[in-house]
Amino acid sequence: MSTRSGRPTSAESLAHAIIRLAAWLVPIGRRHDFRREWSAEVTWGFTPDPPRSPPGRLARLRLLYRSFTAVFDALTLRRQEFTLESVLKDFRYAIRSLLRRPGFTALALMTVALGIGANTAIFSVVNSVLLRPLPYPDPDQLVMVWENDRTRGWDRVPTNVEDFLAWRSEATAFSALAAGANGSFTIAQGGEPERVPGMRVTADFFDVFAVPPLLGRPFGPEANVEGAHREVVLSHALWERRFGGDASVIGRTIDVDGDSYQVVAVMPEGFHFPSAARMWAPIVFSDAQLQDRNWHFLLTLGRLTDASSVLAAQAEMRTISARLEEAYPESNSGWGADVQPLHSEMTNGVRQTLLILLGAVGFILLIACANVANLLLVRAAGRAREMSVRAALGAGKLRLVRQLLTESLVLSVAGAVLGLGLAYIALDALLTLSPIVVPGGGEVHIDVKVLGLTALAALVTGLAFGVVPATTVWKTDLQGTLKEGRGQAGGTGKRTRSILVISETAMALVLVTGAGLMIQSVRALLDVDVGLRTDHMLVAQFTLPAAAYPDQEQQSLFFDQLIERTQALPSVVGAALTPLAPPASGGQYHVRVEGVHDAWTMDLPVARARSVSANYFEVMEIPLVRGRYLTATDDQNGDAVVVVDRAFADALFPGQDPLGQSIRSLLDTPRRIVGVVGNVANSGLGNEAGPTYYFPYQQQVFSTTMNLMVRTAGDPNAAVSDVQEAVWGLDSSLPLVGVAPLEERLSDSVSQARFNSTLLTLFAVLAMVLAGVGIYGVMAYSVGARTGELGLRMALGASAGSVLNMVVGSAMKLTVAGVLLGVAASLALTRVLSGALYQVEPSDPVTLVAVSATLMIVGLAASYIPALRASRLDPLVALREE
Amino acid sequence: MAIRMTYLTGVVLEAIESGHRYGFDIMDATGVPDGTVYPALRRLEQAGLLEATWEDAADAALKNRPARKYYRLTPEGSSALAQARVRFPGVARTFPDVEPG
Repeated sequence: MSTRSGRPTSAESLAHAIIRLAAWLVPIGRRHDFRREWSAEVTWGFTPDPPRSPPGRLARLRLLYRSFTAVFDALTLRRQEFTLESVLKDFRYAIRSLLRRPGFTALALMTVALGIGANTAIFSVVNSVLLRPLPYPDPDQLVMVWENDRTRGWDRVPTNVEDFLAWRSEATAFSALAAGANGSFTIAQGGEPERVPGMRVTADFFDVFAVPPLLGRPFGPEANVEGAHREVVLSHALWERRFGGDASVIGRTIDVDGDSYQVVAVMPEGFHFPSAARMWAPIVFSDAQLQDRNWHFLLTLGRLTDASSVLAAQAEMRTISARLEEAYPESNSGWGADVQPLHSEMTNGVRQTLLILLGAVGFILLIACANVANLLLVRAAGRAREMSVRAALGAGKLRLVRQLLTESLVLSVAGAVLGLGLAYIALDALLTLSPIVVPGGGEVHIDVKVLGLTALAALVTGLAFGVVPATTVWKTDLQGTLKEGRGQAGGTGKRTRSILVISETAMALVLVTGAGLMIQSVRALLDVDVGLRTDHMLVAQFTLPAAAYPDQEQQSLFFDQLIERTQALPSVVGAALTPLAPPASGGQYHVRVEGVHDAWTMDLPVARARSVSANYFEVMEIPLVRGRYLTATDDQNGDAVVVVDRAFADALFPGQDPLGQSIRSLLDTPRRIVGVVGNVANSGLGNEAGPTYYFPYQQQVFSTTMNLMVRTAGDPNAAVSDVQEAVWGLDSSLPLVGVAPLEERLSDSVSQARFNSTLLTLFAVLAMVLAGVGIYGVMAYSVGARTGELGLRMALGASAGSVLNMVVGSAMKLTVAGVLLGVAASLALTRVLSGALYQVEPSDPVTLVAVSATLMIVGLAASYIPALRASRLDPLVALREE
Repeated sequence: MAIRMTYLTGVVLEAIESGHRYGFDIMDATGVPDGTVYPALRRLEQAGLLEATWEDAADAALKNRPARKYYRLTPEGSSALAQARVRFPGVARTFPDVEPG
């Protein structure tokens, strides 16, 4: 180190060592100068000129300290490398070098764009539905209060009136506590009669949301009293559509359910609660409702006081419930109350779906990262020579790594911009496929939060797939590469590439398995035996207004006439009536068997009830199991009769003959069982059909809402106008709702499952394509790198077939490893799907085998092209290249 | 490239102008903390206020020592020093007895 004669002192050696260490921090281009300058200074420092006595202990310490400050100098030099100018230079170079390989760049860009685009689209849905707060003041204070029955394990049960009133007068945790019951109204003003979904609510309903009306005033405090209750509040949408946005509608009287109601307010545009409601009217509790503590039908909404919290409210409600249990042991024993944040209550139904989709797109992004890392590795291997030349020209490893990272960042940012465009398009398509309901209204869109996440994803993915090739450059002996002449990335690159391909394949397998399971579920749901003939059947729903049809006699007469008129139509084979068309379920009612149960208790068996026309079973083609169907003579003059389904017979009369037995339900009249029919999917497709009983509406009209079930000769859609005319011929003010073929209704009822499976399938295909591209990239590269070796083999007599086998075989090794890993991961991960699956186990072996086979085929196909290229090598050309 | 003129950079320029032309000498002459001198030199050099030359290798060999790196002011450096002297009158007084050049 020293050019002087004489031995350097130990302090001097130490100082030189410190400088050598500090030099590591200096960019390679300036390192030599740095070391020369500092070691000269240190050497001179220890040997003053002209020669004097050597420096004393204090001076030596000082010099040591000075040599240590070389670190600050080194850091300064390093920082000077990273100027804006040099960064811009890096970017220009990165763009140029990406443009030199347009094929590679396009493939990488597309991969990143798909990965980030899918994530942006799904995240904007998650953001709008799960993360965005409800559009009301202090949304965290809004809660729903449910009842629950610990003894029976019932959860989220609506409240009975008396409990609700007790809560409202006793609880201090709420600044407002309101209740309501979902329903619908027929309005007949300003256009054709129309059935409008809405809610009957307590007067303080809007106080809970703290949203003042756009026009008019909220309900008065007396609104829930019979006589004072004829007031309605309109939603903004209904007001614009039906009343042309006319402000003078306030104070006007309109016809609601055949009665006169005064419009008192119009709500502002963003107010939707419940999501479907377009109208609100005061609720009036009947005497029966006020007295029956077993009648649970109220949805309870509350706003917590500033001082309260969900937990505090829950504690207070527990105390009140305990008191009610004590006071009313007969009805309230075992019953408690449950306070839940409104936002989570409104998103419960979709949370799982969205999280599954979010997980799926997360996988896509990982696969995309692995793929681009792979492509970059292959490219880096091809550029090893370029790298070594640049190193020889004075670029440090750090500089080269930085260059590679810049390139991958340019790729990921450009990919993210493309991905954002894709997300816009995809989101549009997504919302067409399934109208996603945002709690509290509003739209799904890409906002600042989503943009932020996209930017973050771009940055992280850029680093993630850039680090891999950068590390290989870091580890490669650049000088060695230069001497070798041919660009080779060495063993590390190969191993990394293999690991990436294996994990890509594994992740793709998990996604494809998930999609496969969902597809099977949807197919199983659509294959469910509905229990009746679903084709050539048109459904049209209507509700008789109580004002025009006040008693059973008039209602029953209308129903009879409607069936007669409809059946007279030439396009119609038969017509029947039922309050609920499959797969709608409706409520369940307690049933007493005569001679078995002698009192009304909460422990009685329950069943669904249908008041149908006598010909319902014949028209719907529901098979008769025992006894007889209902007939025209089962009218108000005949005996009170009932037909039950097989589930009912099995549940209430196991091992006995149900015929001739009498049951009581709904009204307290005993009805004799005259027939047993087959089970019908009366509680949604894929749910076990509970017991159901049917009785003739001529004996008891159970619901003024009816579905006209029309068996048509031809296409049911062609009969729509005929049926409409038949109804309006009887009553021109009667709106028909949900007119659609039964098959369409059934298929719509599984739309959520179909939506999931469509999206998952899309993502699975994407994942498979990406995995295929990954395998192709690796094999293509390895064939290129082994040209010489393969040429030599063929020159020595290896056949084209054996070379083909060799290449495909090595690709299959990776694929099989990926498949095995993927199967293991699937077994662990698809369990999260179990809630969304129907009649298929998350670990379904058939699916796993089929999916594994599919991925093997993908692996085979992806490696076949490079293998073919290898087998067609001309040995002479290949060897000459070497 | 622009540089923010501080007392430190002024003092370093003044020291070089006064004939203290290599790293440790500048540290000794200015009395500012050792760790700040080299970063200041790098910034001034990058800003074009200083230029550096290596001592003639033959001269160094004669003295049996490694060649040192010498710094000197560029014309821009001289005018920057003039401004620094106005802004920080203390700078000029730091080296009263050394002839410029």
